[in-house]
Amino acid sequence: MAPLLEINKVSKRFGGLPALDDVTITVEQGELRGIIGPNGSGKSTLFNLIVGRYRPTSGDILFKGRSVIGMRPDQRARLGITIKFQITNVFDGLKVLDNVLLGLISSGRWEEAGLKEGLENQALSILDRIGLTEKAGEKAGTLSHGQKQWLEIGMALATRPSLLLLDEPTSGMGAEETRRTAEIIHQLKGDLTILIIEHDMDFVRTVSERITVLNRGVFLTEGTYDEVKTDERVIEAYLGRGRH
Amino acid sequence: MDQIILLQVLNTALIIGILVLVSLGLGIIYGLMDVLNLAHGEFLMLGAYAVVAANLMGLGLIAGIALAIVGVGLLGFLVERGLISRLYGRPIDALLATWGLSLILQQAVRLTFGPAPKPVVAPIEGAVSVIGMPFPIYKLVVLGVTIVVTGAVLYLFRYPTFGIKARAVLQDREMAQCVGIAASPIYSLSFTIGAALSGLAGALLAPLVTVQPYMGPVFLVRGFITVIVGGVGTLFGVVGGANVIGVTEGVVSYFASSVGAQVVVLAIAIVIIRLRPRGIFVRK
Amino acid sequence: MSSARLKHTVSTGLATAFLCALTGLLWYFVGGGPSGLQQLTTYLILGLFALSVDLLWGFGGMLSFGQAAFFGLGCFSYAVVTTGRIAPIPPEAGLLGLALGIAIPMVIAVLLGYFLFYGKVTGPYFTIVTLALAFLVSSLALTWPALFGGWTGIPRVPPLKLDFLGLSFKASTNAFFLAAVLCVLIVMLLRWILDSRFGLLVSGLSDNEERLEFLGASVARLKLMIFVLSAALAGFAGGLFAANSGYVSSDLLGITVSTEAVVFVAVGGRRTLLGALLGAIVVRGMSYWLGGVALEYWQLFMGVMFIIVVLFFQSGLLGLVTRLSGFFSPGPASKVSG
Repeated sequence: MAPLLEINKVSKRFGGLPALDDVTITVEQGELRGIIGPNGSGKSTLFNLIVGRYRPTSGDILFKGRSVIGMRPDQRARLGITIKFQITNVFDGLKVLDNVLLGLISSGRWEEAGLKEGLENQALSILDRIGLTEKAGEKAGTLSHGQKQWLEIGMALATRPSLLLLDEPTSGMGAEETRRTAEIIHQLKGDLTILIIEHDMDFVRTVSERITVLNRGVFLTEGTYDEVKTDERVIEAYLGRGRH
Repeated sequence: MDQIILLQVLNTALIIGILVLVSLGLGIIYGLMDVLNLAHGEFLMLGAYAVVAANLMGLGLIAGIALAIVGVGLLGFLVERGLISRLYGRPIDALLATWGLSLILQQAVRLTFGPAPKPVVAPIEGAVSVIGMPFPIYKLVVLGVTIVVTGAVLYLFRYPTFGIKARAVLQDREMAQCVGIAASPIYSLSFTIGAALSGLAGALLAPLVTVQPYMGPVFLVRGFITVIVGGVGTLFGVVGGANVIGVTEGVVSYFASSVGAQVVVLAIAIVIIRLRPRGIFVRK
Repeated sequence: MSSARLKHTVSTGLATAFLCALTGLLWYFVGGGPSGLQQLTTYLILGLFALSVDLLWGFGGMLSFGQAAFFGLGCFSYAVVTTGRIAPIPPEAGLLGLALGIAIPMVIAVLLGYFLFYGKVTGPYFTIVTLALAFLVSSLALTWPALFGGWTGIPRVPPLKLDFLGLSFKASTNAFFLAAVLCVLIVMLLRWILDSRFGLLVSGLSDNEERLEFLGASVARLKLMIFVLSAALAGFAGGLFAANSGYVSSDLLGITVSTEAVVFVAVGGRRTLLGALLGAIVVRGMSYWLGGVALEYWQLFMGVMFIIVVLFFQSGLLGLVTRLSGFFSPGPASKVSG
């Protein structure tokens, strides 16, 4: 079976600065892949390229065998690629329920004359999965940082993606919230393919099966948590040179 | 035939020069403060009327120009302090407020001077022979002045301390404030300079165009299109944009009509927004 | 939940009817009978135009200074058809004129919107482009006097007649009732649309355009639809205006009328439907009560209103009323803000 996502020799330069250099990564369907690396290694840039916020300077990105370069972000979302951004990006002025509803109707065809009832039930069940049912009627802007992240995950789920990109889903979360986030992601395993950027190593260990490591825009290595953890190059990348 | 073309070239250079003066001010204000100053055309109009007023008082054009620069500059300062500074971070509200201001200024002038156009006589009469065709000396003088002033402004924003600080704020406001550059006085001074430039343009233009209370908006629109096309946040870009727009207008109005030129310019602007959203002369 | 939507639509309709009735009585008794009503009718029609601007700006987040182009086209469509200017007067000329007044702006909006929105001309750039276009359109109209009547415009435009119903709207009271009924119906229709899925997408658009796009909605298409809807309403209002005032001229296409509508919306309350109508009535009404103010003071007055509203009354009059009474509710998926 063809891989779900293929990143082929992708480079991205901003002005003179190379954020990504000749990176090749393959993701199979159903995987739960962690993407780690020290700050500035290009992880978020990679996500932004996949989802269409930026255009690669060179290289190709294939989704389900088709190149997505040149496709607008909304086209990619309709194909099945959805992202939870690093900086929470929800509809602050709208109710939590409406936020999820928008996830449901944005990706589908909205000309269908409206039985909003069916959609509302779907939205409510998504809210249930992420644990925000009591907040359904409140404005998203009033949620805490962690709750907003869950909401954004819920909105992403509402688009029924094949590939879900989570950019630092536990940033700013305490231990309890992190645990709940891990639970949510575990429940999604198998249904869809998930890529997670994270700094919290324990979290990465519990949720992902394979881990890809980037450093300074370059692909460093790939493997299971244990393999990666003991890899000298990874240790050096995180600790910096001058250790030996 | 060549003579007519050369004349058209000189006229185009004049258009570009005036456009630069108007657009520099707009570009500074929009690039620095994210404020779309819809009253900018009225600053130009007030500059023209400063000359009218000077004439009425029996003073010459030089006095008129001085009055324009100082008077409109002062007005700009007051407007920035009193109105604009309350609306930073609220670009749509700033837009509406400056539109309201433009209406007020238009009507104030109309009530003071009357709606009829005021003729202004060029202070330097006579023409110079350019390859056998007469070209008014005054236009040459205006061209010269615009070049000198543009150079001065570009220099001001490039080198002295003010220039470096201003460009820092222009490029990345938050970063500049983190580094300790106080934005407020920079905004004040920049808005004042922008207004004064527009006033100067109006004063210089007074003998060349119809001076009436509603002359502003046409220059406003042209100015904004220039900034959009040339590049937001870069003053050289604005100069470049003025060249593009000026040449286009000059060429099209030579072959077709001036309304046709407006259409073409607008079409080009839309295309450029599509292809190079931050302007032609801005590095991607 | 759709019964909530129905309730919301009906209550908004009732509120509109109430507003029309109240102002109707006021203008009739205080304004000297039928002539007072005639004034009010004009305000209501301008309020419909302001509604179209509110739709585009308050709900869609796109400020345009050129909507009067559509309004003006509606005026001229009606005027040209009913005065037989370029072709013999057809039967049911009034209806045909109104229909054309809706269709032509829609077509132009589709073409223009396609270039603007798929060309990613948004935000302040969009506003400036509409400003430039407004100038362009009024200049162009003057270059075509056979159609647009040059500086003098088109006089003696007949009032609306619905022959198949045997109704004529020449008398002031008839015209007023027509305008009032249309206001109620249109407000209800807009409320119904805005409470739909489409309306939710529109709310999302003005709240966080980027997020909406990355969820899979075609933002350009959404904007285009709002733009076209707004143009249609503006054109319809234009046709009614021509029928009511009996005279059209090219300054109806220009900046002054466009900005007036923006003032109405800003004063009445952005992002509320009634606000547009209220703004038109209040602002125009004020000028009337101030004794038929001459044009130069009117512009000055509008300029001052702009600044005052921006600085002190961002939510407009309706926002003030909402805060005071807590009764009128703008709706589930919206916010009243400046």
